[in-house]
Amino acid sequence: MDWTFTDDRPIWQQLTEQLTVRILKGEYPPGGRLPAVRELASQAGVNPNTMQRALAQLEADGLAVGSRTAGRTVTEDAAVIEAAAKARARAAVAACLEVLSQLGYGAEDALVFVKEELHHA
Amino acid sequence: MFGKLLKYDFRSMFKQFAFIWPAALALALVNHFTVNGLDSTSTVGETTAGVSMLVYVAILMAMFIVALVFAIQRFYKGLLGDEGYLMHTLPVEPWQLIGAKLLCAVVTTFLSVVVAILSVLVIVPWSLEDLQVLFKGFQYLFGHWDLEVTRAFLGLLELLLLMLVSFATGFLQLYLAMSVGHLFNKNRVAMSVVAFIAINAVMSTLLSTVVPGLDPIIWPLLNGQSGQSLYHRSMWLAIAGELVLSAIYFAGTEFILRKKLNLE
Amino acid sequence: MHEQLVTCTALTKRYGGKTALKGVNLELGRGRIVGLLGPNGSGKTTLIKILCGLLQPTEGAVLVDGQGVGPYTKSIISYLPDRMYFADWMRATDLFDLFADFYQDFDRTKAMNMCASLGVTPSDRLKSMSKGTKEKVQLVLVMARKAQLYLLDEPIAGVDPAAREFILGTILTNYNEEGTVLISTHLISDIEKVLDEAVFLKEGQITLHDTVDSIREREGKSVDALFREIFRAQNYEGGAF
Repeated sequence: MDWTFTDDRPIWQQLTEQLTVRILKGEYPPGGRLPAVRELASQAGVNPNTMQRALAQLEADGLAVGSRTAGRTVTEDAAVIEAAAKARARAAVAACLEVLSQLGYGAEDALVFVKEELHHA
Repeated sequence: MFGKLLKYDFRSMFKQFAFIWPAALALALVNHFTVNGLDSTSTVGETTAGVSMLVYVAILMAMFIVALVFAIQRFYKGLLGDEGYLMHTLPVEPWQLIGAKLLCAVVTTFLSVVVAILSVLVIVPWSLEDLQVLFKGFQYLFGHWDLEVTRAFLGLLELLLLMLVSFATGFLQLYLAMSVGHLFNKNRVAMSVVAFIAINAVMSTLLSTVVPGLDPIIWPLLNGQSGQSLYHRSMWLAIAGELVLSAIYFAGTEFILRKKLNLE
Repeated sequence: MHEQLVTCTALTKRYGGKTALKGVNLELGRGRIVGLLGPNGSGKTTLIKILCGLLQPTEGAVLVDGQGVGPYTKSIISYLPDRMYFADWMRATDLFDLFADFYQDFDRTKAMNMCASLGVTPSDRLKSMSKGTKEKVQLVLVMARKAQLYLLDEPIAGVDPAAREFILGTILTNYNEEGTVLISTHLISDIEKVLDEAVFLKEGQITLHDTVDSIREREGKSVDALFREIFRAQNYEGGAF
């Protein structure tokens, strides 16, 4: 997976999100070691200070543990990972509902769309 | 740091002269045989001797021209051209940059003079006996070393010193002219030439006004002296004069490089 | 060690009648990558040349690590000029010798490793190298030093986007993390994500100096987009003269 950035928000926030996705997808498995700041920064083509800030946020979110010097690992706490996954799922649903509401559809309509979509799939 | 600068200047100098110095000496050796050995009554012998002498003279002239061009180029390209970006960002003082270029240029010219003198000595007819006579002469000289010999020796050293100092003055005047030319935004080479002529004009006017003013100091030193003593005193006065000129040119060049540097 | 790495106070540079810098005040800390951003002719190169001692300011003062420009500041600055600066008869290894002689912080092993990874043969004569290869050699010389301040003047101008990524990658993986990198450029979109701070230079004056993050947060747009807005407006103003 490539690193991509949009123009509207700080880069470190986007890095935190993309790192989170990688953890949730299992690309960095629970308890697994995260690459060093400098290596991640060079992979993403960003400044090490920016990557450092993104990783600090990941720690604050509880997804990463350890220190800068000893190296960071992904948390082994399944509950934290699950909570993060659920939070992302809710955010995705909320974004979807936002689009539907702009189109004039209500909650009932949304459920119908979801059921139809699941039926097709 | 100054030593390191010298190392790089001398290295590039030897690269430049590694061919021409040995070539001049080798041609002198060829001439030694063509001039002294060939039958000068035959046309072939005369032509060969003539051509080899011509080539020898040409290479001697080339040697001094190369020495001059080398000194100018090392300064202009090295300090005022693109290479200046490297040289002026090295952790050294501007006077060290100028000093290294100057020392290298003076030594180069001096060595060229030595090569020229050696080559003449190689050409003149000599035999093994001549060398023995020469050796005996030296033996006698060192065996009878006294005040007279010391004085004569000192006189030679003074001549040598005067030569070196006037080389330095000449190069420093060129450096100053190039530095002044560099102050202009356009036609820097042409302005350097103009600056060189202008410096000459200013200095000769200055000398014609200042030197008579120095008479009260200089005359008592020379007045009433004669022979050896007059020679020594006037040599030292000449050396001092050249040193003063050198110092003025050096200070001017250093000021421009330190305060007014503006590479393209 | 002085707290601020670079302090410029009321820096002005005039060339004849033209003013290249007008009263620039700038402070740069340590351990960051700073973009010096402005269109051509805005004074970027002039500012960098003053910092590395190739130009003297007309007015104002510069301190690098608390000292005026001189042999000490030159010994802690690694400068990449916007042109080739070496004699053609040299080999890259000759330049490494020279740098190792004059700069204590030059790491020869690192330079050789960088050459290997950049595909440069350091024993080749510079004369026989292509323009792109010579630029790589110059980048190696500059980045193989563990300098306090890297001054990179337009390192990515005049090369294709793939080479830009490559050059930025080389800078990112090799710079001394306790040191500061100042990169001048007018190509901001390529460089924005590697910057901590951006300095906007407009007609010889600093109009903005902030972190990239807070610019994005405050403006809701990229530094590149903001730059285009500001300097497009300048063109209109320019038309009025």
